Amino acid sequence: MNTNTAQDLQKQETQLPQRAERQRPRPYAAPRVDVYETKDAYQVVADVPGVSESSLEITVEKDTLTIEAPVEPTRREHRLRLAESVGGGFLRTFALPDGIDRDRISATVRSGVLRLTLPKSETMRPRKIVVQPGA
Amino acid sequence: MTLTHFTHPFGRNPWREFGRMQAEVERLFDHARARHNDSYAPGFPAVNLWTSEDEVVITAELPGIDPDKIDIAVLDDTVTLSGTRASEDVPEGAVIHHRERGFGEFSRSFRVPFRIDASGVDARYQHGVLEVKLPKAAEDRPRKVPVLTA
Repeated sequence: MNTNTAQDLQKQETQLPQRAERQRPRPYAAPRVDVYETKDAYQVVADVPGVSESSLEITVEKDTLTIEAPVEPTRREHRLRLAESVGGGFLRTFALPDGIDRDRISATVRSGVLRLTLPKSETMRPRKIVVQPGA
Repeated sequence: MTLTHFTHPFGRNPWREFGRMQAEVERLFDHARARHNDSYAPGFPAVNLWTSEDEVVITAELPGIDPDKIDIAVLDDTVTLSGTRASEDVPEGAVIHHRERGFGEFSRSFRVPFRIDASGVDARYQHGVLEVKLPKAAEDRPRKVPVLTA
């Protein structure tokens, strides 16, 4: 069932996009995601702990959707003894399947969980063709 | 348990000891977790841990969890973070392409090199990160003893 689009949406190798403004590479991690598809839209749910609305950047360029969310590492007077989270933030890119209504992509972030809705264009939704009785 | 437990006669770094004990505690909990057939890889939530003279600060990455459902238990020199994370509510008939986010029960314990003042523990949850401050109990703080003249 719809395996092509499933593959389209699969994770590409996470690499830093080539951007001139980046000063130094951050220790980004790829966020864990759930992706599911309803008849109207794709939903991407990503765990981005420590990320707020203001620090999140979602870009669509050609056929690539990029989620980028830098997290400023917490600085403390204390000594860091155990660091399982590098804390640089999150970055992941997805290849967009055909038929996404790019103007209506929406996103919310709450309690460190990003929810992206990628609505399907009208033309890509399943449509029932009524067969007219022959004359 | 007292501080002497950590002060090795050969002057070993007490934090190396901390690491060893951490591994021991994790091993015990991994064993318990294995029996629950939990979907989490060991080590959820990911944790950073800081120390100072008077306190230990733990931050745990717990995105999308109701903070009321996080259980923080303190006993002597050990703190346990536990709770449950619900799975994503996928509408009926939807096609699932990726399912990487973990769900189910989690529990992690950490042992610190002093007794914790349980009444002074402070916990905050913001943007999916839990921060717990564990102050050192008064009994384990260095005390100045005044010398009385006879």
